[in-house]
Amino acid sequence: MYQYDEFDQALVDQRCLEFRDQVQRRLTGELSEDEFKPLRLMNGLYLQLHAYMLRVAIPYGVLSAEQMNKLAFIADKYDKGYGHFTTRQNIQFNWPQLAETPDILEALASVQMHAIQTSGNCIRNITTDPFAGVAADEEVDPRPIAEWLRQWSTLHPEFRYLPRKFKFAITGSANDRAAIKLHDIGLRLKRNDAGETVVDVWVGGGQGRTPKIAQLFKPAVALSELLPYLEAILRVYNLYGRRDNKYKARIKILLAETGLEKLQAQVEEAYAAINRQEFADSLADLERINGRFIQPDLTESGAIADAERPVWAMRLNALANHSDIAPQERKHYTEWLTQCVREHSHSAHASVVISLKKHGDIPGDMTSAQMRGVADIAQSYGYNEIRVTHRQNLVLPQVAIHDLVSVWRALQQLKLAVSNVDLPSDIIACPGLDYCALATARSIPIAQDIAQTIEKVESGAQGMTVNISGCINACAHHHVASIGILGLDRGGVENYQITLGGQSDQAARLGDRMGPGIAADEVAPTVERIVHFYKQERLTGERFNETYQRLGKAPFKSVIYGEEHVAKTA
Amino acid sequence: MANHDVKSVDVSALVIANDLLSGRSVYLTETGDWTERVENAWQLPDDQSAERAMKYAKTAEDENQIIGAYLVATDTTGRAVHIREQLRVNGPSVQFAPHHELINSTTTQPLSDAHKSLVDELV
Amino acid sequence: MSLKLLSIDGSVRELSLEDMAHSQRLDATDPETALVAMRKLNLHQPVTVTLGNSADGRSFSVLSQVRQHCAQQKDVWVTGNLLPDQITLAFQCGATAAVIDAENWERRGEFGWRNALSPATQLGYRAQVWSEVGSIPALRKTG
Repeated sequence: MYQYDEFDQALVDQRCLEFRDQVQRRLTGELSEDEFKPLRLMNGLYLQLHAYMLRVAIPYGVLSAEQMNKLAFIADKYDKGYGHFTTRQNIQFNWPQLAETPDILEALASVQMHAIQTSGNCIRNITTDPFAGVAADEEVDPRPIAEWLRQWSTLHPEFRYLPRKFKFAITGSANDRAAIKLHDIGLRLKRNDAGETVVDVWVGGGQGRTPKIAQLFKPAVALSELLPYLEAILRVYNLYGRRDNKYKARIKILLAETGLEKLQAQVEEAYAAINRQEFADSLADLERINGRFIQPDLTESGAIADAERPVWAMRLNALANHSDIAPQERKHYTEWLTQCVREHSHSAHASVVISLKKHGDIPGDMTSAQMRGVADIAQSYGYNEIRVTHRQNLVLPQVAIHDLVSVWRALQQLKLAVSNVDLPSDIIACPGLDYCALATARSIPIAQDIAQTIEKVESGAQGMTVNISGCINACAHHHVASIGILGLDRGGVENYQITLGGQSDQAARLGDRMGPGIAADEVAPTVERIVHFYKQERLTGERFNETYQRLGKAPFKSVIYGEEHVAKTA
Repeated sequence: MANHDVKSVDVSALVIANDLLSGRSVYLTETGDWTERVENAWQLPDDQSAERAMKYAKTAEDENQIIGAYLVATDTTGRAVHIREQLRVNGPSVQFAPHHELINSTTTQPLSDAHKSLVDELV
Repeated sequence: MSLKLLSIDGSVRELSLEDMAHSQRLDATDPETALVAMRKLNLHQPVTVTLGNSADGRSFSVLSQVRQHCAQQKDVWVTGNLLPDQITLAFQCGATAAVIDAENWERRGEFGWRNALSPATQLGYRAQVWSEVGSIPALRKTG
């Protein structure tokens, strides 16, 4: 993990002092709400339906055990004993009091955390692959680059008031687990023939009201050119992005309205004019950042030479026959190994995904006790490190293979050994109308209803995703789910639109809208019918989206609306 | 799922806002105070009283007691008409932190103790 | 109307209309026109950039480019309906002083304005390389 230096620490400490002063001025009435609102938003403090909400940044989703313990402390002392992990790999607290938020920021700063740029029209938290640095298929570790970009974008004076918020995602693997094509800028790190790191820059992806898949804007940018090139893109966007309509203000609209070639030309012109002196030290900066990443030493015994490493499925099979596992436990343990444990680049280790989606629970929510428990596990077995995934789960990136049984038992105690990762009940859901001031319908009860309804039928539906957003802003990525669900308000009644066939990986694709929305209590049975139909119709090894593409919309519409309805409206 | 089939008309209204300090939903009372108990809210029968109530609310905003005051349509029973305000009044419709008590009382202690002893050894 | 000139070194002085007349004007509220006009600036004469409202971030992209274009010019001032937070960013983007009208100056108070360029408020990661004309020491020194 990256360790702050004195400068990093001074910056967040200063920010705490500044915010304490601003809150004080608000409480005495020196600042009006109109004056205070932009200041609190710059520190991640929103006002939601029931209370203030504080969104805490978890840069590229990496947490230490100590930081997780601090989040638990904050949940207990300043909130109601829980927190909510988000699709930007952040955490939100739903009940803080205004006067206590400076204390919360101070508690965060004491463990090298902050809430800077978790709101507002600026560059937001940069997200990446939750398996960064450990995935068996990774070409380049994206974390140091992500930290480099975090520093470049933090409090960047030119880009504090962009036309709209701006999101980056980075991956260093051909299998994109960071949804880079759904971001304002997506970066794909690669190695060129000379073995140097180069970056494909994708621009103009996004969701919301007008979803777009990003386009390849410039391939193979050298690291020495990356920051000036990104600065040029942001400068062009800042100057020419629309400011007259907030729904048309993202860079995806600028790209669509300007055209790819013309926008590329504008960026090239801006890039040529960039003051290169400002970036003269950028590679030295990256080097310094690299030096502050403390990597665990995995060179202990048990490693197998890559050439001799059996395929992962075979290794899992062997692991399931662990002598500590009682016969009556074997089924559950094997399910957990299959669904929640992933291959690691180091053969004596594995990565463990912790599902925060227990059937019937609130997706992404975690109690303070669970946070402490996971921190304990990370300290005992996981080299102190935890990741937050954009699917609102956690990852223990490195666990020794021989510790897997202990980790499983500890997770069971915490009610976190839930074997549904990448199954349909591993639902992404935004807070929706239960909390969010922007929402038009509830998401959480729908997610709970679906998960409980499909629990018995979902086995084997690997990779089939269900994402539920409570409004058109699409915080829960419903456009890129196998089954996307969008909650709307139709004359005061919650109503849910279904899209099918979306995905967010390297073959990113937007889902197709099936037809009119359905009532809240119809959503779960409908999802159950779709899962059942897929399992019945699929060819061997076929993923949901492949089945959907092969069969087309029509049979799925029949499954959703019934044969008769489809015949009538055809 | 709850029944959202709201058919009643806007026969009356109340003023809702967020308390500046806590952010919690509060309601204007007939005496011009703010309460967290919706049953004590001032039920406004007509436009004139609503106008008067919003003037109180504006003053309270200027005096930094509350923020974001607005009128909420209610039915004959005084219940908010729209689901958004029903949720504001009643709080989230979902049970958050369901395992909080359970886990605090039973399972993490041994883990934490184990860790503590580990730390003790190291120190 | 009396004007105050708050410089990056923290000094404050009254500004005469004559001073202003001496400075070239550039209106950043219309960035496209401003960036064309920038090419015609006399590089040996001070320039005053009018910023848009506080949420209009285009002004900062214009200002950054003016700073770069007029690299040898000591005086790059900003004016407009300024807020303290805004001049913090303006200084970081290369302004050397802010022109503030008396009424606005009174409203925020001297402390509010000076605080906008205190070393602590100016903390940030971005390195400034025009330091020969007016450096911000608190900015990260790289390398």
